[in-house]
Amino acid sequence: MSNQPRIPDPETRERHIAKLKEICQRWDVLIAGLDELNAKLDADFENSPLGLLYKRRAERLANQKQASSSQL
Amino acid sequence: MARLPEEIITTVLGLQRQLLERLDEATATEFVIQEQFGETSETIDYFEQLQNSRERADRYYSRLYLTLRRIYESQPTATRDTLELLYQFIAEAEAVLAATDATIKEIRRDFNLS
Repeated sequence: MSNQPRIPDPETRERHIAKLKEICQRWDVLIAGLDELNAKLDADFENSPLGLLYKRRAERLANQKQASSSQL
Repeated sequence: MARLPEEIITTVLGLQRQLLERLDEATATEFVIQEQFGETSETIDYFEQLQNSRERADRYYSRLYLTLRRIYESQPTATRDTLELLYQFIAEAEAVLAATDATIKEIRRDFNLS
């Protein structure tokens, strides 16, 4: 019955858990890296010609809205 | 245009597919250990750590998706720095994915799971 599923011995279990923990730590480094990259891409976009155009358009719309509501 | 070179976008999409496959493997392993042995003092750490690694792969996947969207809206073009960082994170993620795959296979083997 050696094909039956079995729980590994404590040393093996410890090794498995340690490897999974190490994998999580490696992912955490990469996730933090992507977060940083995404923040930089956001900032770059905001300062790009298109980002500034969007900003001006949003400001214009906000001003129009304010002007039309103050006329009421 | 901030389109990525064909080879890179193919690599990224392949990486996303691998992330989904690792998510499936980790979940399937949690499921079969639960079915076979239940939640005991010997298995509880597995559930916790398999779930942690699954969540990390999932989180990386969602961050990568955001990065791609932002690169594609970068006009007129994504900077060289951005692309270099992306290439670096992809290469590192492939290494972590390989380690995840190897570890899950090892766990399944040592539990004698099919």
